Amino acid sequence: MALSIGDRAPDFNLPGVDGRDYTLADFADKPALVVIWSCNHCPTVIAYEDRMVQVERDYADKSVQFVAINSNDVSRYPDDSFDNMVERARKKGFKFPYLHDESQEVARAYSPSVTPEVFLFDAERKLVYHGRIDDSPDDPSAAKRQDLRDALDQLLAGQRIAIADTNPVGCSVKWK
Amino acid sequence: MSRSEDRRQPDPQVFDRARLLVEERIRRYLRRSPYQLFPDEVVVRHLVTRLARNVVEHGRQYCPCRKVTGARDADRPNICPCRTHHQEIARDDHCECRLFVSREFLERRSDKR
Repeated sequence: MALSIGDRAPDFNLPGVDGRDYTLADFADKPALVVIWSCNHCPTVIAYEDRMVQVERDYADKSVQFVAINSNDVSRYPDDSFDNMVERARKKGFKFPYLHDESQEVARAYSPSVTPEVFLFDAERKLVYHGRIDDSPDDPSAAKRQDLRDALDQLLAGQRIAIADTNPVGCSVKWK
Repeated sequence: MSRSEDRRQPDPQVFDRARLLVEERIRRYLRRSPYQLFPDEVVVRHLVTRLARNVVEHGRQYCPCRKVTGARDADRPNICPCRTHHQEIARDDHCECRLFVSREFLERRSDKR
C-alpha cells in the first residue's frame, strides 16, 4: 500500500554505485531526507537528472540528504542494470547515493508508481511531501511550480507543507 | 529544454502539428474505448509531448515509456495505444505509461481524496 503523508520511512539496506551499502540510519543526522525513485532508461528521469543534481547541490549546505533508488526489473529493462547505474552516476556527477533495489522489496514498502517519484521525509523520518519535482518535465524553464524546492523550503523553515501531495510524472516502475 | 536531453529540438511548427495529431488520435480512441485519461493535466501533457516527439523523430506515435529500437516490426506493437495496453490496464489499472487508466482507477483515487 502506498505511503501516506505522516507515515514513517521504511528502512532499507541497499548497495550503492560507490560500492557501499546504505541504510536509513546512515542519514539519521540529516534534518531532511529526499528519496527519489529513479532509473536509467526513463526519458522523464533523463529530462530531470540535471535538475536532481542541481537541487541536491542547492540544498547540500542545509544538510538535506538525497538518495536515489532504482528498483526496475533489469531482465525486462537491461538499461537499468547496476553497471549502467554506476556509469550514469559517474557521467551525471551524482553527489548522492544511487542505490539498487534488485529484489524490489524496498519498492514494495514505499510503493512508488513511477520514476522519478519523490518522497521527502522530515527529521523524524515522517513523510511530509510526495510526488513530482516540478510541473514541467519537458522544459525546466517553463516550470510554474517548483514543488520539491517549495516543500524543502517550508520543511526547513519549520512550516507546514502547503502542497504535500502531487502526481509524479514519469514511466511506471517496472515490476517483476 | 533540459541540457540532459541529447536530441536536437524539433522545429516548433512541426512539433505543434504532431502534437495536435496525437491529441486528436487520443480523443478518437477515448470515444470508442472504456478507458479514461490519467487525471492530472501535467502528466497527460507530458505524455502527449513525448508521443508527439516520437512522431517527429521516429514517424510513429510510439509509447513514451518504451524503447524505440528502430526496427519497425519490433516497435509496431508499441504504437499508442500499445498492443498490450488492455492486459496492462486489466492488471494494473493503467497502461505502461499511465496515459490510459481504468474507471476503477479513477474511482479509487477519488475515494482516497
